[in-house]
Amino acid sequence: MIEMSNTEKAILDAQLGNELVREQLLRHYKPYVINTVGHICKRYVSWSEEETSIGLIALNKAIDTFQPEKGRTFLNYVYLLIKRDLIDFFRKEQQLQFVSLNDENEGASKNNYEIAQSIDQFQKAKQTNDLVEEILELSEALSHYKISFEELEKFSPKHKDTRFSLIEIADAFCNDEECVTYFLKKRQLATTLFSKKTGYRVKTIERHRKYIVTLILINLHPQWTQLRQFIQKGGES
Amino acid sequence: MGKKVVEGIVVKVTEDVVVLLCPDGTFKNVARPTHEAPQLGERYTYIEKKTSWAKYTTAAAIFLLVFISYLFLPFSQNASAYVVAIDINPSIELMVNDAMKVIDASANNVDGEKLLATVGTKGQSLSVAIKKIITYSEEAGFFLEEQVVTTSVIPIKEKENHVIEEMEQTIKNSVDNKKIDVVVLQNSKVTYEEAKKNHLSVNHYRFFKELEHEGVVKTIEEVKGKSIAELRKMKTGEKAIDNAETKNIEPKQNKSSRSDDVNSKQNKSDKLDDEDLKQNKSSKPDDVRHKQNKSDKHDGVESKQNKPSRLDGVSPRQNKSDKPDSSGSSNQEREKEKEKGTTLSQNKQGETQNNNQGMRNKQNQDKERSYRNPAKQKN
Repeated sequence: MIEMSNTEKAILDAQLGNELVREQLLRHYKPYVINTVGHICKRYVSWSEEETSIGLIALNKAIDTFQPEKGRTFLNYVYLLIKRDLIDFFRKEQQLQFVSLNDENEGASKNNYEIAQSIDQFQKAKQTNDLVEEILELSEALSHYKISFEELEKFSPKHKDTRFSLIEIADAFCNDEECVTYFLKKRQLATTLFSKKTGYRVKTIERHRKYIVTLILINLHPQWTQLRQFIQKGGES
Repeated sequence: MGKKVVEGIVVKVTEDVVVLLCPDGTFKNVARPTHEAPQLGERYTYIEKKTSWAKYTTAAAIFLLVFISYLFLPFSQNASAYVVAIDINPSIELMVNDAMKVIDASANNVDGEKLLATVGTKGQSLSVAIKKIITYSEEAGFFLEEQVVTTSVIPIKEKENHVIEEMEQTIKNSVDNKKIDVVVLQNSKVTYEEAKKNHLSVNHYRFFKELEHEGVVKTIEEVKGKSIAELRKMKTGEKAIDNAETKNIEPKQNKSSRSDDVNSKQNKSDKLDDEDLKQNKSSKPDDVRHKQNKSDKHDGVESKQNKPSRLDGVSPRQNKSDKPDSSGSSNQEREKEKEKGTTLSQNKQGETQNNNQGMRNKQNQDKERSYRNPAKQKN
């Protein structure tokens, strides 16, 4: 909740005319925009496409018009605006290839099911929104370390034992203040320093370097409750 | 191979993959569905399709197929589709594949072996091989007696008429020498096998069949060791005689002038002589010799016969064969002459209407006699 109020504060700041905060907000929610646009278009979209620009404009509009007292989360609001604007855009374009007959039929048949689901979805939304916020924050944090999500598969442990030992390493790292400050300051993982101190093998750390960075980041942000669950759950199971 | 199920939360969607954060804390990249883009934070289940190993299976299958086809291709290429049997005097058989290439060649007689030893036919196209064979035969002088090339096309696999026709055309076209006659026969595989069984070339066997059918020969032994030209003569000789009779006798029958009749007889007898000469140069039928003594009154006719002008009415083929005879074997001619004389007189005695028929019978008898004799002698 703390960070929720933070975003709300930031949004209010931006609404009042703080361009820097607005810029930060826009950058923070960019991955969400592209993902949402892709989700609505039912295909992958890149930043060079018109739809994504519409999404960004919608995001900007959402920052301007967001009213926290109406009981909506910001992400929900952004999603709503992006969807509305995109539908408008599609109508205006009258792109036959997009709104094809098949698609419409599908939409009609899906409609009832979608309505029924939307209630479920809304209830889930609150949970999901928190999760999405956390993911967005993590992705931003990782970008500082020049890590992208798609690379992480390579560095992920394949076996339970390695996973446990990696979690152990991350815990040990977080307990070492010198390492943590170096990590945050230089945005680098001080492998040699750390292995000298704790005796973990450099080879193991190097092999799973980026995964360990992710684990440390999650450990260092206790507010990411949902993401933490994944790590801890993983440790337990 | 159980299906692999990956479940997790969507962390990022890229063009190709969806990055999932799995419940165990690891990250997984899974293929993105083509017409879908899952939302961030969404719970996503990915069921790994079998394509991963299906791809390998198809690749392996294709590789295997190619491998197997390579294994079997040489065999199918080597399998001869047709057998072309060629008889000039050298008797050879060419195994030809579908692409009209000669794969193998075998000889049925000594001349054929010589020919194959000098002319390399393997791996060449049919037309080239035939050309070579024919030029060699010309140089070696196999065409002196008769300028006929007898060939047979035997389909081994299945009968495709147009292919056989094409082959016939190629065979005929490949012989540029206009003087040389090309006869193309079609034979079935059965005939070919029977011929093989009897150690004869297909063409020989075919001629034997025909001769046997006409009652000229009785056993295969009579045919063995003879050239196709000889066989042909045995067959065509008969026909030619028939033709000669009908041509020469019928119109002249009406006139019934004796000297003319004798002339026509002469022609025929020349022909017979010719055959006699060739087939049994040494032996003469005894009965003919007997007749010779009887008939002294035809001397005048004989003198006429030796003049070349008399031979004008004879067909060119006969003409050719006559020439050497007219100089050398007057004695034999005389015999024939006499024989004819007797037949003529016999016929004169009989009815004029049946004359023609009677003549022909007589003629046939003569011919049969002349054929049988050499055969007997050989045996």
